[in-house]
Amino acid sequence: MKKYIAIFTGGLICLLFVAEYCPAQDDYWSVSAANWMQYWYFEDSTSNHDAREDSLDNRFIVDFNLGDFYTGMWMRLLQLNRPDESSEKITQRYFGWRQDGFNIHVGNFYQVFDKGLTLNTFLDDAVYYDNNLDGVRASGLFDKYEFDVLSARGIEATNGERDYVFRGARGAVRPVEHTAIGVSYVRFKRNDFMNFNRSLNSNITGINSRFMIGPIDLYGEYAVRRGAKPDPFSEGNGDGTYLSGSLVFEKISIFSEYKNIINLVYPNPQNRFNAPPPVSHSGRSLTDLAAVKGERGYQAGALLSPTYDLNFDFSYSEAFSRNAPVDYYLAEKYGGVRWSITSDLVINYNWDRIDYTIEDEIENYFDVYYYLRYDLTLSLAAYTRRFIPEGGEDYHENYLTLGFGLANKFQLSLGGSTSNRDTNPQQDPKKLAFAELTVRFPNHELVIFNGGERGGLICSSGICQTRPTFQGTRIVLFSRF
Amino acid sequence: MLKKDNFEHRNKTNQDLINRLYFMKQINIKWHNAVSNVGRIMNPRLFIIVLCVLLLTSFAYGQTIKSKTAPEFSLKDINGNKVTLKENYGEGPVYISFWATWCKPCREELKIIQELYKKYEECGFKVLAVNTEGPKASGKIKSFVKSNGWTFNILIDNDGEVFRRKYKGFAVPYTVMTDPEGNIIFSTVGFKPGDEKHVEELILDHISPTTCAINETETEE
Repeated sequence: MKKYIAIFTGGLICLLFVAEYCPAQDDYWSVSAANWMQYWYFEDSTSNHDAREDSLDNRFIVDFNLGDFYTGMWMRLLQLNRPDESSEKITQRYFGWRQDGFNIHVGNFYQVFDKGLTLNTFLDDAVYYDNNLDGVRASGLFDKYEFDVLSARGIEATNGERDYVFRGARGAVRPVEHTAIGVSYVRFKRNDFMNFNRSLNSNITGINSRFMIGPIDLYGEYAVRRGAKPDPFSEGNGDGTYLSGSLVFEKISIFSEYKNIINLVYPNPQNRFNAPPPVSHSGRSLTDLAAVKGERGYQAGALLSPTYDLNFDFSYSEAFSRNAPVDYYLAEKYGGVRWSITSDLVINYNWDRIDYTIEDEIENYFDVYYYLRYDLTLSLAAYTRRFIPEGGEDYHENYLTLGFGLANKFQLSLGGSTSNRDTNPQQDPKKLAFAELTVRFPNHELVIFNGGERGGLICSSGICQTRPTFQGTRIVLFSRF
Repeated sequence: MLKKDNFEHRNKTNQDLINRLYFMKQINIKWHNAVSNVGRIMNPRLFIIVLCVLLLTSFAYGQTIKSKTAPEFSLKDINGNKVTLKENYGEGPVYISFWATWCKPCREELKIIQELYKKYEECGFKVLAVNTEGPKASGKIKSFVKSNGWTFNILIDNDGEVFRRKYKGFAVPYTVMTDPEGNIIFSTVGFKPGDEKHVEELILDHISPTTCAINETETEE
C-alpha cells in the first residue's frame, strides 16, 4: 500500500516540479497538463434512507510535444463509495504527427463528419456523453480541399466494451468560389448476438453541399443507410436530410433549419454514433427524448440588433415523430433580449416555452449585471420554471441568485430555489439554499459549493438526462500546468 | 462430405474465436488489475489531502503559465476558409476565446473584446473566437455573430479536438492569450467583468509602439 502511495505522490511531485520550476519547453519540445478534481459530500437522494456519502471524480490530462510529434493521455479516478461503480483508468491515450494541415493520429479521438449524419462523436460534460473512438485517423485541411480517413472502434453502451468497428472517409472540395461539395462514407460493424459467426454491417453514405454568396448561406446534406437488420424488429435501411439557410443583414439576421430522418441513427436512438443537429433552441430532439427511430422537424428564427447594445433573439421549432407506435410532438417558442442600458448596467431576459407530448415547460429568465467599479460587479439572476405534465398537476420552481465578483480574484454567489412540489421531499424539497465561492489563482480555480441544487432535465447536443437534486458540499479544483 | 467439412471448418473457426477472445480477456484483466491497484489504496479523502498539499505548494510558488507556446491548430472559419493559429502571429497579441451560443458570459466577454478589437485591430491585435458546439449550432451561428456585431475571426471546432484535447478545456468561456511569438501570456476559465482591463494592459504591453500610434495617444488620455 505504502509503495503505491509513494509512487503516486512521487509522480505528482515530479510533475508539479517540472511544471512550476522548469521552463517546460524549449524551441523543440513542451509538456503541458491539466487537472480537474471534484469532491462531493452529500445526501443520497436516490436512496430511501438518510445516507450521507462522499465521492471523488478526478481527471488528469497530460500532453508531450516533440517537434511535429505529440503524445498524451487522459486519466480518470472515480470513487463513488460504491466499489462496483468506482474506476481508475486511463480513459484516453494517443500519439500522432502533424505538419502543414496534415495529421496522422493513433489512439482515442473524436470525429464529426460534416453535420453528423454519417458520423458524430463528441464529448459533452453537461450530459456526461462521451462516444470517443479508438483507432487510426489521417486527416488533411487545406485551402481548396480537406479529407478524413479513419478505422476505429466505438464503445458498446451496455457492456462498456469496444465492440463496434468503424471504417470511414470523408472529403470536401471548393471547386469554385462560394461553393463547397463533400461526400462521406461510414461502414459500421457490430456482432450479431443471435449468430456468433456473423457480423452486421451498416453502410452510411452522405453527400453535402454549401453555397455562400453575399448575405446568403445555404447548406444541405443527405445520407442513406443500407445494411443488415440489427434485430427482427428493426429496419436496416433508412435515410436522412438536413438543410440550413441564413440571411444576414446589417440589423437583422434570419436563420432556418430542417431535418427529416428515418432509421438513420445507429446503433440505437439514445446511444448513437451519428445524428443530425437537434434543430431546437434548447438542444432537445425526439430521437433522444422519446427514443424514436425517425423524426421530422424545422426551426426558424431571427436575430435583431437595432443598436449595438440591444439584441433581440426569436425562434420557433417543431418536430414530429415518424413511424413510432405513439405519435410524439415537440415544439419550442423562444424569445430573448439583451440590453446594455449603460456601460455599467447589462440586462438579459428570455422566455422559453416547450410543448412536448408528455410534459410542457415554460421558463422565464432574467439577469442583470451592474459594475460597481471597473473590476467589481454585482449580479442578480432570477428565473422560474413551470411544468405542465400530461394528465398531471402543474408544478413550478423559482430560482434566485445574487453574485458579487472581483474580476480575476473571486466570485461569491448566494442563492436559493423554491418548489411547490411535495410528492417526494427528499428528492425534490420545497426550499433549497446555497453559497458558492470561486477563488481564482493564476493557474488554478477553486470552487466551493455548499447547500442545495435542484435537479431536473438537462439537455445538450440533442441528448437529455435527468439529474437528481444535490444537497451537500462540492469542491472543484481546476489546475493547468 | 461437404456438410461435414463445413461443420468442421465452422467448429474450428468458433474455437479460434473463443481462444482469441479468451486471450484478449486475459490481457484485459491483467491491465485492469495493474491500473486499479493504484486506485484501490487511494481512498477519496487521502487522495484529496495529497493533491491539496501539492497544489498549495504550487499556489505558493506558481506564476502565470508563461513561456509556454500555445498549441498550434488549423480550423475552418464560418465561411469555410482554413485558418491556422501560426498565421496570426507576428504583428501583435492573439486572443483565443472558446465559446458557445448558449453561454451568456461568453457573449458578454466577446462583446467587450469586440470593443478592444476595434481599438487595437490596426496595431496587430488578433481575436480568434472558437465555437465549441459542433454541428448543433451550425444553423444559427452566422446570424448570431452578425447580430452581436463581432467582426473578428469566428472558427468552428466541429468535433471538439482543439478545445478538449489541445487546449484541455473543461468549460466555456475559456480564454488563452498569446504574445506575438505565440507564447501564452494569459489564460482563464469563466471570463468575469473587469478582466478586460487586464487584457487591455497585456495588449498595450505587447504591441509595437512604432507600428501603432494609438498606443501612446490612448495611454495619454
